[in-house]
Amino acid sequence: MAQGAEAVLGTRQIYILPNRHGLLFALVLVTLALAAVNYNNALAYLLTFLLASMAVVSLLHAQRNLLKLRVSAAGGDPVFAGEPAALRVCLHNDSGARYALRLESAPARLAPFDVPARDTRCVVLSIPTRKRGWLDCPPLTLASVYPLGITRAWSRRLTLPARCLVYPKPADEASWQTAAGTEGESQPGAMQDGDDFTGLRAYQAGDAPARISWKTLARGQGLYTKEFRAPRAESIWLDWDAFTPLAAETRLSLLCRATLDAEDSGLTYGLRLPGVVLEPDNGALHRHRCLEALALHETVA
Amino acid sequence: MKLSPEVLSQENALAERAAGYWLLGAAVVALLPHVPRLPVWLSAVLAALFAWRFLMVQRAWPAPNRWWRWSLTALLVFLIYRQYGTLFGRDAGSALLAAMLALKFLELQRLRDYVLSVLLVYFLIVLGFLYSQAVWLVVYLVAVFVLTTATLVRLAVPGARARFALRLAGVLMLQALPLMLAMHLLFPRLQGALWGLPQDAHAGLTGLSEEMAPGSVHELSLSEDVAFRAHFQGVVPPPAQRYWRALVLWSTDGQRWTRGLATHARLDYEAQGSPIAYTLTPEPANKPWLPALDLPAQIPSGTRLRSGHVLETAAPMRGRLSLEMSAYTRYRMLALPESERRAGLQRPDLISTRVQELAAGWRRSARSDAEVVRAALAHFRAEKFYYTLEPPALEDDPVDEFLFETRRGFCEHFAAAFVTLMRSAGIPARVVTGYQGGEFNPSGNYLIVRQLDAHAWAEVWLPGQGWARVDPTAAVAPERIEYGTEGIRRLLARGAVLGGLPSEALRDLLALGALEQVRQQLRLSWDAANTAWQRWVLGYDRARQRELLAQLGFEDVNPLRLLGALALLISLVMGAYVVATRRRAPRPDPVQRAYFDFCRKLAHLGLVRAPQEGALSFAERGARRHPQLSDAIHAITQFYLRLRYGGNADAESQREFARRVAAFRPRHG
Repeated sequence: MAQGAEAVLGTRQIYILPNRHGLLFALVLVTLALAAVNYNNALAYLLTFLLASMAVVSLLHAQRNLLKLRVSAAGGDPVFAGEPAALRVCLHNDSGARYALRLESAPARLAPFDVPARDTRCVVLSIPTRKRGWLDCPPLTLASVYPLGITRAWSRRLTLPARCLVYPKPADEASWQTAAGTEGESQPGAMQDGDDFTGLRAYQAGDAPARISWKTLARGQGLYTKEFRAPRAESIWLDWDAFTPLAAETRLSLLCRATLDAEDSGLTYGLRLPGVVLEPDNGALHRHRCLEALALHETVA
Repeated sequence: MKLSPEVLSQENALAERAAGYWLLGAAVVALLPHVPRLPVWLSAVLAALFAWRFLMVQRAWPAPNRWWRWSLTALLVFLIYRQYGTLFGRDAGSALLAAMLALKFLELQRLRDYVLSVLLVYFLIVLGFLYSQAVWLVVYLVAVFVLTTATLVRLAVPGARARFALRLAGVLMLQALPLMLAMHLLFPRLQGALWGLPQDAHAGLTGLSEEMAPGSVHELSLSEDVAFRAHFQGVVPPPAQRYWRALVLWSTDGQRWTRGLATHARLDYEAQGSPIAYTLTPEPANKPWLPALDLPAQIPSGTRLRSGHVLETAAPMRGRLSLEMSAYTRYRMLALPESERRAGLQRPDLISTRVQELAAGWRRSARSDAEVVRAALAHFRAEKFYYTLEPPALEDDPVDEFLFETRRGFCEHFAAAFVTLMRSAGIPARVVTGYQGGEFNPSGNYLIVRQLDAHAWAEVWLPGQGWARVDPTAAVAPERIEYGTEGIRRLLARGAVLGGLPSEALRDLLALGALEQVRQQLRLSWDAANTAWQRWVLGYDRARQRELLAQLGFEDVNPLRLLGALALLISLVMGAYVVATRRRAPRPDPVQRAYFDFCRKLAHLGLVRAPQEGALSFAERGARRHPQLSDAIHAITQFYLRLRYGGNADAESQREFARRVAAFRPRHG
């Protein structure tokens, strides 16, 4: 999966404003100042000044809490459309500890967390998916109310190049039956293939030249095609054109289901999409390649 | 942002776990100094409410529902209103605030409720200062303040440990001090209150009253309250010169003495010697008169001269004042104004013939006014007059009864009798009240003058000399002048007879035990600390501010300019900080930096280290992918781990590591 480049929070990327608690705090400060003025009380003045100064100083702490923090993101394992995608966001801290960080991104509300000094902490953002294809990391905002809870310091929206692959949503059983029913029981276009020679049959137009029995032809016995049978598993082709009348997304969804079923049944399967041919094979990697091809297939409008 | 109920209860649980007990603790300790002033029923209600909260958390007691809370709130507001007759001002305000805070504890639901409660605790702390500004209270409340701020920190950083929160609160406070000081010095101070001071601001202050009657000065003789302090730049005058004049009383009806003459008549005098400079810091007494040493050489701003060369402030002293004063102790007045002569000779309607005859007798045999004075003082000494701290009560004609029957009295009896006698003898005379003496505090070079040092004496006009001080008490009991009321009390307690003991005997009688000496030393040191606090923190007012700024070269200050200067100062400091942080790039240690270089080089080969990937597993992955680099990768990784975790990263091996990384040049392919 692609490694996301990182963003570093510089002074220009960090904003700080009082939050709602800060406004409450300011209101209390004003009231205290009025009491101090009215009673002309030096200590009431001093304490009001102290609180105000601490609010000012806390701005610096708030800024330093985010400053020079490096943020990177990486997409997690591919998911099927409809499942939540996991994006791993990591905060790398090269200096003193950072506190009460909160990753604010549209779908998730996560509890604040700390990053110890010279350490890295990662959070997994769970993002709902609807469409197949690449899911880009949403713009991230890192925020914190550290140190007094009366200010909110936040980073400019960070767009990191991390992404997560979303496979098409596999067609459910019902739609698979419907689609398959229109085409008959057997997989149209699927061709049996294998390693063991089982015999000869009369040549039919379209048979691969490699399968022509040149020996019998040379003996003048006519054009025969060699038949082979797979010993362990059948080999099938999953073909885009097999579902011709259906909409592109539906076809991809059906092919996705077919890929999963073929893999689960231990079949050897190949995938044919417009512009893409994946030779029959099986295994997790092959399954991923097929699903990736389906996920990234560009339908012609 | 709308919060769903689950998020809300989660937020509440988080806040409660982080800061629930802290908040409760901060509220209780902030309330403690208020408890003695609150009505007992309210203290009991507060304790019950806090206990309820504690049990809500500890034993999962149910929170009262809204109806209960509102009824309770309404009831408490009503009761507080009934108690104080108002809901505003310092007393009712702090009672109300305490009640609201305790009630708030019954409905802590959201983070905001917790934050609001913390802010209310800050409010309570400030209210504490409206009652007392003593050093011990400040120390206590600063500790409470740190605890309160730590509570705020724990609400902001839910996982914060206790030590972390307290330390951060302390650090924030210390870092805020310079800015606080700048605000303290520059924030524009207003003269007077915004809405006029509420009635409750200055209740219960003691001090000299406007008139003198038998017993009125004596009332103060038990009060150890400090009346004022006087800091001297140079030598402190000896006890016999420590006469602090506050009020000059001209008119009498034979029983009471009042001020009479109000406006000051111009009086020419010739001063001898240079004036004694001192700083006078009176305690608030809600009275306008200022006790000043002898003859004020200058009239400080904000004060005016009354008849008889006494000072008073334009308004009753409520806040802390600090006045630069100077005084002459040797002077000669040239001519007696007619108004003063008339007032100084006014005889009371109530005056017995015995008194008049006594005075007339002295007048006949004396050749000068000064001789009359001497005869009177000799009479007090010869006729067994006693100075006592427990004077007998006097009925209708106090002067007559004192002179001919009881012969025992406090200073006001002596002063009143003496002035009455002098006036009968045709010598202009007046009663002066104020303070005499004061305790010298060597740590700080100042005198502490207490209410029990209140004193009354006489002044008579002697030709060629002017108004001259005559203290009949001193004639009877010189110990009063030398050792003060406290000394007298100790002497009497040890059975001494005043007025005739040699000074060595007196000193022996007055000698303090070792323990008492230590106690006195502690008391004086504590007073010195308290006084420095008064002078440099509490006494800082508009006048001081102007003075300070003038010294810094800013003459023409107004509130707007001050605020502008303050804003400028804050932005400068913040700007400087931001610039400083921008320049200072984060510097990982050299080993770390070199290792990152190494990772970057491998990244060019398509081998990217995952964020959480350990150095070892990354190396293994790299070696599998690029077997030809296996040795180099492992060597550098081992070196790195040894330096970083082996604990022997001296500068030379750090450089060596950097060199190895620099020499590592993997090729593509």
